[in-house]
This record gives sequence, C-alpha cells and structure tokens, in this order.
Amino acid sequence: MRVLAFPRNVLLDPEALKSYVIDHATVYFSIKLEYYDHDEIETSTWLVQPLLFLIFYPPDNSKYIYTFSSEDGKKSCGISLHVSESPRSTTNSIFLNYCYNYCYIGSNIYPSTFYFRLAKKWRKLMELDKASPAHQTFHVDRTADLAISNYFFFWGPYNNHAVYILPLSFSEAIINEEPAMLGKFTHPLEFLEGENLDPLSELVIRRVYSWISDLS
Amino acid sequence: MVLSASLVRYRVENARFKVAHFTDSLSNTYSVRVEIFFATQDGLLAFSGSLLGFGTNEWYFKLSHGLSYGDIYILSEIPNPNDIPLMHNGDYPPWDALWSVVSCPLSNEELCNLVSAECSSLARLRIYIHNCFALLLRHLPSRLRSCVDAKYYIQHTVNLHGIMNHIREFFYVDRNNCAVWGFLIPSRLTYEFLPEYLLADGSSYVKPVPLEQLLLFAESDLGLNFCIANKFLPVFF
Repeated sequence: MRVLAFPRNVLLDPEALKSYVIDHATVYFSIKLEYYDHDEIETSTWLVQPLLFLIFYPPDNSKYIYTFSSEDGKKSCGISLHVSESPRSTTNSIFLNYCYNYCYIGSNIYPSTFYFRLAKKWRKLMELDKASPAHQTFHVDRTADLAISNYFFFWGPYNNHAVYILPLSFSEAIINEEPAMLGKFTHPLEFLEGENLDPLSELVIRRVYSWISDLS
Repeated sequence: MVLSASLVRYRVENARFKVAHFTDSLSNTYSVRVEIFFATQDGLLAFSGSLLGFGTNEWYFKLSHGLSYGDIYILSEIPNPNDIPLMHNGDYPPWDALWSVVSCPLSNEELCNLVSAECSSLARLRIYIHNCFALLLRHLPSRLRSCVDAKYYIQHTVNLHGIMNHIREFFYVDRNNCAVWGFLIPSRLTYEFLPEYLLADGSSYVKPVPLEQLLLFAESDLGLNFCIANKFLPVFF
C-alpha cells in the first residue's frame, strides 16, 4: 500500500511547508502530493505519515466513546487509517478534504481529496450509511467534517506518524448489527482504567478527553 | 496531617468530575497539574534540576506543579498572585509548597469545604489555575536571577489579562492519573519573562533545546509530545 507522507521538516517548519506547496502546485491551484510504499517508510525518521483516527460517540451524548475489542484482543476505541493513493473505486474508502484556505501562503488551495482504503475488518462498520446504500462509503453530512484542521500528537517508535483525531456521531444500534464489532459506549476514564488497551487508543483518549468539560 | 500539602483530587461520578474528600481512597482519583512550556524559535527551553529543585532529573522541559489544598487557600485569600510574598525567611519555598509562605488557620475540614466549594465548577477552577500559572511564572525568573546575579531587573508582576490570548492551553490525562492543564508560552513571551541576556548568563540553569532533540523524549513524556504537536505541526483553516 502506498501512503501519503511528508518530509519531517515540511510538517514542522512553516517556511518548508510553504516551499513544498509552491513546488507541488498544479495549474488548478491544487497540490500534487507524494505517496510512498508503507513498508519502506515505516521505520523512516525523515518521512512523517498523517494518520487519521476515528472515534465514535453516541448522537445524544458526546461524553461517551464507543469501545470494542480489536482482532488482536486489545481494547480499542477507534479506527486508525493511513491516507492512501487514489482508490480503484470509491467502495470501502472514505475521502477527506485535507485543507483549503492554506493559511501559510495566504491563498486558497482547492480541496485535495484523499482516500482512506479500509481494511476488510472495518468495512462492515463503515458501510452503515443506510441513506446511501448505492455508494457504500462512509458518509458524513459535510465533507468539511473530515478536514484535518490540526494534528494532535506524534505516534510510533520513530515519531513518524502525525495523528489527527476525528470524533464522529454514531448509533450503537447500527454498530451492533455487526457482531464482530460488538462493543459499548464507555466513559473515557473508564476505558483508561481498563487493562490490555490498544496503545494508540490509550494515547488518543488521554489527549482527546477534555476533563474540564466534565466539571460542572 | 497537614492538608495544605495534599493534592486536590477528583473522582468521576455519573460522568462528572467531583472533588474527592481528603479521607477518601486515592484509587481512581485524579489530581490536577499545571504544566508550563516555554517555546523558543525552534524548540523549547529546558530548566536544570538545580534551578527548579524538584525531582531527580538533570533537565526539565516544563514547569510542573500539582494543585494542592494550600494553593487553593492562598489563592482564595490573596486573589492576585502578584501580591503573594515570594520569600519566606529569605528562602524560596519548594515548588510543591508555594502555599507555605502564608500560614493557613483553617482546620482540615474547613479547608476541605473551601476546596469543594471553589474547585467544583470549571469557571472557578479556571481562575485558580490561571492564578497558579501566574504565580509560577512570577517565581521562575526570580529564582533564575538569584542563581546568576542580582543586578538584573526582573518584572515581578504578571498581567494575565495582557497575555492569556497569546498562550495556548491544552488538556490531557497523564499516565499517573493527573488531569493536566497545559500552557504553551510562545517564544515572544518567553523572552519577555526570561530576557535573552539573563538566559545567556544563566546557561547552566536554562538552555534551549531544538525540536530534533525534543522528539527523542516525546514518547515517554505525553505533555511534551502534545506540546510539540501544538507548537510545531501545521494548523489548517
């Protein structure tokens, strides 16, 4: 699988980012991005891969998050996705507007569309938009909901993943139609007090849980 | 038992953060900690263990302080942190006992009631956290000045109203059951608090650390990891 990655200095230095955008600009005011073989760059220290982490909360109560056991038996609270190259089809993929209004160069960059190809184990969970069965893609009301606004932290032994956390409203009843994904909505701290946690899920909760919102 | 030295703790009840009674069990309770990071142009400042006087590390990337019952008392009695005396018998109080410069006449139960009343709402806690932040900011340059040379003039007051809009705040829960309220001071303000000539003279106590070196510590230090992302990773609109 080929995944999107940026040279580390491009993500960390506004001037380098500006140069990158200018160097990769296309005639249509979009940017041509570079994808790399995932296995080859997984241990790279100079390429950073954007990583999207989806977490789900019930429509009526955003304090809780959906937790479940992943295939390796660890307790997880979401799905992590690399940004992949253009999909062969839109089925089993979601798309993301990476950015528009590029703040560092002060001019508009038209939305670049990125595709997240889903592993088989996640497909059932994501094919739940009953309103648009023909597309069978993960659906949100507005594409802007999937726009990366800022990254939350670095991840991995080489700090070569920049994680963006995306909370999404989800119905427990719908999720539970897929027995393999059977889980429950849990308070974030209850999740952290558990054992055998997926390490990335644990870090996501520690970062995304806004404890001040649980004060009166 | 001196309750002033105890950390204020919270427990979660019905998905709400409630102040725990000081006699409650500590299991599944969360203390509150203030963490302050000082940005430079290409990294963060690190402070020597000898300057800060806490812990066993040689260098620290942040000023870290757990909110105690004593802190709440002095900050409730003296709402302006600039009015709190810095020194006691000519010495600086330990970082984890800033409250010890003022004696607390309250009984443990009275102090507990005060903390329960003052720390239960976000609006009130925010005031205490921000005042605690200001108190810590006021201590740092004074201690550095005392280490290097007394000739420097250091501004001893911190005007929160003038700077809070420029300081990034972030929140997380660390692996030691601390609910952390983090502050990232931009480089421009860093050099207002700690002028470059003072940093130059105090290089044994304070040093800039570039991002490449900070990343080596980012996996073990959650606050540092989140702070680095906050400062360096791009923001899109």
